[in-house]
Amino acid sequence: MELDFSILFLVWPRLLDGAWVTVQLTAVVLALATPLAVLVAVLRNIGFALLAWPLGLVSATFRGVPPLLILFIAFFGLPAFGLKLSPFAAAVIAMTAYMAFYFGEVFRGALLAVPAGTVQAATALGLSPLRIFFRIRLPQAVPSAIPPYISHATEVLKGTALTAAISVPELSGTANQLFAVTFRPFEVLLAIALIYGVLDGMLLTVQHLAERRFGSKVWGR
Amino acid sequence: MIPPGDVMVRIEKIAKSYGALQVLKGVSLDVPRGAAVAIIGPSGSGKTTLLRTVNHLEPPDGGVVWVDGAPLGHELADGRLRRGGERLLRRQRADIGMVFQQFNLFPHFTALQNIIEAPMAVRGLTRAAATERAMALLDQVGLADKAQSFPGQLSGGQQQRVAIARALAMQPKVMLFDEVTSALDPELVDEVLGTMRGLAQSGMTMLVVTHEMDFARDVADLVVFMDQGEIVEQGPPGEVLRAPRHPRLQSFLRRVLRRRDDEAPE
Amino acid sequence: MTIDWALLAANWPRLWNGFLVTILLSAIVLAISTPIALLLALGRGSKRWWLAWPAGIYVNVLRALPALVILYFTFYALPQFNLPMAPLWAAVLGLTLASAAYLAEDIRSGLLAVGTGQWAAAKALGLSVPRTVLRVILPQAIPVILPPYVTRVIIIVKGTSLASIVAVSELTGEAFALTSITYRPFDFLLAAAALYLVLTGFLAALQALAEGWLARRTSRPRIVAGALGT
Repeated sequence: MELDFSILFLVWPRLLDGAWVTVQLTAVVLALATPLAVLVAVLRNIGFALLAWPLGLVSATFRGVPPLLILFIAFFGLPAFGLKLSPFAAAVIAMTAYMAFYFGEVFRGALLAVPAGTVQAATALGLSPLRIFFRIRLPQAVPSAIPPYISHATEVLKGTALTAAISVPELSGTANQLFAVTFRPFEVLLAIALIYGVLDGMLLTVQHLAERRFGSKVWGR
Repeated sequence: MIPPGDVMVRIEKIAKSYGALQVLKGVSLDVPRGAAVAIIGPSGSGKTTLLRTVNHLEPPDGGVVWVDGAPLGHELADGRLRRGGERLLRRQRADIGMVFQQFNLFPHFTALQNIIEAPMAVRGLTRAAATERAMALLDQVGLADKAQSFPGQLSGGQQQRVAIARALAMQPKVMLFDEVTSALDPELVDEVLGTMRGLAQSGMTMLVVTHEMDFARDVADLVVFMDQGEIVEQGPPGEVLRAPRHPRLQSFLRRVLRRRDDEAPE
Repeated sequence: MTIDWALLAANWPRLWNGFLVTILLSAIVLAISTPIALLLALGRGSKRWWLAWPAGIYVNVLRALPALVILYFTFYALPQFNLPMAPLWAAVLGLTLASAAYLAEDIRSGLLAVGTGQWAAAKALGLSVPRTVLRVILPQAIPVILPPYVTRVIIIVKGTSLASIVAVSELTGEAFALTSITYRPFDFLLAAAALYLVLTGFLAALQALAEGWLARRTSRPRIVAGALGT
């Protein structure tokens, strides 16, 4: 059981390439899914019964099916609609679709957790529903949304590993290819575990900064 | 029917039920212009619900509330009442100020921002005009130096005074106070009551749901006792509080005053 | 986007088998990871650093890694140390290791919700740790843990799909294989999705019931947030 870490010196460029794809995929999905999720949360919250109900159903469907299966459906199914997509693009579409609903739940929960009393006070003052939503509810929802948002963001990061199954050249897929080449899966895995840890740590730092800037502690609590 | 001009608020046969529970059983009350009305009674008597029907935060199941001659939530067309829309209600609410037991200040706004929000959004004031009005009100309640503080940095009594200033900034015709000192530590109650006393003396029409009997006795023009969803007795404080006629009011006062005497420092 | 129902019906047994494997896999993973998670949660709350530290490191490291990477460890790395495992057991091991870490956190929140006062009271009465846990803490913690636990079960069910990547014939794997063979892009994948929805839908209904039961017991307001989790 001797470990040989020297092979890492040979393969680290490929690992770095894979890591870079992972970062890109994560960033693109976050950038697209977040505003979509806000839209979903708003639509479900404002209570247009016509929209809220079917949207809730779609949301439950996307969250009730394994992400891997959704990836396969996007990868195999989208070409049937005439969309010739690269694996990366298919992965983006699939991940954005289901993460929008997971994030949507986070934002919905945060909106629901806003103290009803402040909404009542705003109503008593005669403020319009639109104004109440954007000036009173939304700002109070942000601090409580940050921790679950970041934890879901780390799920996006970890979810990128699944895209290896549809040939996206991200970190885990690259590592998989290196197993056969190096005959040293453990060392390679340790290396990518470290890289994932570092990327994870960066997300946690973002959370720290966000809580300092937007957290409710800013309001003197 | 449009009520005479010296009645600011006319509550006309208001009924409200929650499922099988009848919380208000056809309550009627006339509040004269400039009067301070104290509403007292045991918990569950419906006094808070009644107060909240006056600005339609609780829409009544039956009856109409008239504020300054206009029916709340309704439009008068050829002598008949029709249900009005949300916009009408919002405009009417702007003239009615409410202060809550839990303060309900906007925690992400400073005291000043709390006060200027509605005047700018609803009355269309410029930021400068709203700020000027807000600073004057903060000065009136003795908190001019706390304009830039967040609610989380203020004591309960200070928060409640800001809440009063926020309601006053809309220059309402009537002010509603919903047990506004019940959530405060005893030593902070007086500062809020003092502010309310000043307001009453300046001629504001106010409805005050309260447990503070001394306040009712000293400041109110009219005391209304509610029990089990109806007004049991009403009159000037001298009569209602010192010479109660109804047995339920008598036992209520006995309970409240005895408890107060037990707590009094010796 | 038409579905060839005849083809679907002909291959249904294979899909159904995959579905059963999924359920089996989920059940085994759940059965093993729950007691492990309980021990981890208790360990993390312990005052003895030699219990708290390893538990903490385990939980944090395994939650930082993609579940797939953990599976790679058990499937590819273990043979490197002359510990070859059948794909099914490598998958069970990997999924169990990962799930235990997340479950441990869910359980820890529940235990924390019980409050240190209970531990203090039990200690003052002279109760042993195992007895305290079993008779005092757990009965109070279980109602709190139940809703997040069911959410986690749903996640574990979805997580079994990863086993397809290490050659286990569960539902996703079978749907993938059938898709590759027949070149029908939607039929089998959508059928698999439907089967998953039946399973997770059933579990989500259970969770709603659990939350309702909890709310009635403690007269706490219901927060029906994200039953289906991540």
